[in-house]
Amino acid sequence: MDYVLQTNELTKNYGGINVVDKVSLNIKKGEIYGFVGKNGAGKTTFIRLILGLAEATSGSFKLLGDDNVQNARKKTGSLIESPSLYTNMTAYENLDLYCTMLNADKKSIDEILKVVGLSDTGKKKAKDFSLGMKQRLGIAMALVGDPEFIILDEPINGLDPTGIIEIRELILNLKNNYGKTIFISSHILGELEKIATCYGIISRGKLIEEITAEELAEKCGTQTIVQTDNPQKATEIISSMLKNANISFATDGAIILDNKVENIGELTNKLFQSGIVVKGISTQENSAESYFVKKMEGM
Amino acid sequence: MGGLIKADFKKLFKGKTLLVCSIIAVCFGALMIYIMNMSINMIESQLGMMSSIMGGEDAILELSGIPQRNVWSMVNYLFTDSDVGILTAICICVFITSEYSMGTFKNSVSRGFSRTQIYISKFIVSVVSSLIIVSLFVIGGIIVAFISMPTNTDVSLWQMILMIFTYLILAVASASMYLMFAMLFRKTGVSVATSICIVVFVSSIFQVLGVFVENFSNYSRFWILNTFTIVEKSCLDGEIYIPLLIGLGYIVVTGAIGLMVFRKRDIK
Repeated sequence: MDYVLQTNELTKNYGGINVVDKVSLNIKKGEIYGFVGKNGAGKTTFIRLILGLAEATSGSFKLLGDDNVQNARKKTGSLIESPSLYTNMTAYENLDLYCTMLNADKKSIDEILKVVGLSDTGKKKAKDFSLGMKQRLGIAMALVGDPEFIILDEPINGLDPTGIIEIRELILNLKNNYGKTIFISSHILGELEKIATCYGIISRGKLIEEITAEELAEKCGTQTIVQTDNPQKATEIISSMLKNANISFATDGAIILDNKVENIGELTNKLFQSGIVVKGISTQENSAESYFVKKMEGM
Repeated sequence: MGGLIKADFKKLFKGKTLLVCSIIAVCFGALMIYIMNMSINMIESQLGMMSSIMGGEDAILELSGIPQRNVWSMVNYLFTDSDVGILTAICICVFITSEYSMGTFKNSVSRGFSRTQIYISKFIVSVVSSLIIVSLFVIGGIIVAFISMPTNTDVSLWQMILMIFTYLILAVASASMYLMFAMLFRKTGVSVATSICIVVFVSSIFQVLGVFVENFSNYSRFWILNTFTIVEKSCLDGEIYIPLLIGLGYIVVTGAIGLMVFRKRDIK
């Protein structure tokens, strides 16, 4: 299995607090890896460690399968928080400068500008760009030198709905048509859900869970909530009736079934015949967003 | 590394700071020599009047601090003037700290360039910008000096070359110091203000201390901006190695401190 990033108990301590706490994550080649966490969870600090902007207190990591991360960073493009642009230059000049720095082929500039949708900006200076255009130019800079791995930290922050759609399409285009592996950190869960193939959930510096999109889909879905006067006995009956049911309890004693019950009438009838009073039965959609929120809050 | 240096030069020449500082430097240098020429003319006429009043046509009056009226003396005068240091400090501090304020240091660090490589690249660019400003300042003055003053001097061509080389080494050392301040303070305002205060005040403080402390001038010459003033005397006395060593010492020490700070700190 080809991994582009493997971290081993990566830790960063600021003033006695582990902002990144023994994070061990694995990103496979070709994935869009969504790094999910609240503001201040440690997402950006983790990225800064990977990119060499901050030094890890302990732990190690391999980038593009290489222990020499300095070398591997040459094949890694990134956009961290806000794009770092020379505002007195045009989009082309910014990329030209970056190509000079990286000794990259300048013939690729026009193609990159086309990919990010900035080919018609002409002599307009970066300082006159809209937020969305700046963000796209930041992504364009990340693409210079044809990197294998692209790290995007909050790429849709501050964008309007149109801008968000544009960036989403751009990211999917980079994965599907250019075979890039993309790592996106975001706290906007709904957006990540639309593009990510794998997720890492971080909370208070700790990696809570790594989960693929398929696994997440299985865990989400519809729940059935049954409220009775005797949850204990009702659970026994439900378990005997629905063999594969995953049963849990809400704080008010309601029984939660992790799937939709096809024949609710039969279930109600059986409970009634056993002398159990059914106070209510309802179904509830369990979104990926609520799954992430629960995980991030340690529920 | 070559690409990094090339990109830094592109940024330097694309920005307006060097251009503005260069224009000011050349005008400032020319203006200084023009004013100095006028002052020398006035002093010479006053000395002539005093001489005739005293009745002795051969009377020789000397005033300390006034350079001789020839082109080489003006070159020396320009190199020893610390005001050009303000322009150099502004240019270097603005260039370096803008990388912090725009966040563009992230671009080079995240693409696998080591902090040492980045610092060396910034050092080279800072040195070149400093040499451009100092050279234009001197050239501006020399043009006016050539028009209005004689070229005769007792200093040999070899001594002139040696002195100019030493002045340029000291200019490099000053650039290294301003680069260190920019790396230390990161913010444009703070680093520019600190550099200017140091240019203006430290030499003045040393002068005041010289009044109260015996033989203080022996120590104050180790302050880089004072070292410029001992170059001519050191050269004529065969001790040119003193300012040269001071300059090289500053380059090493300020370079080491700046690099250490840059390597230790996180890039925001």
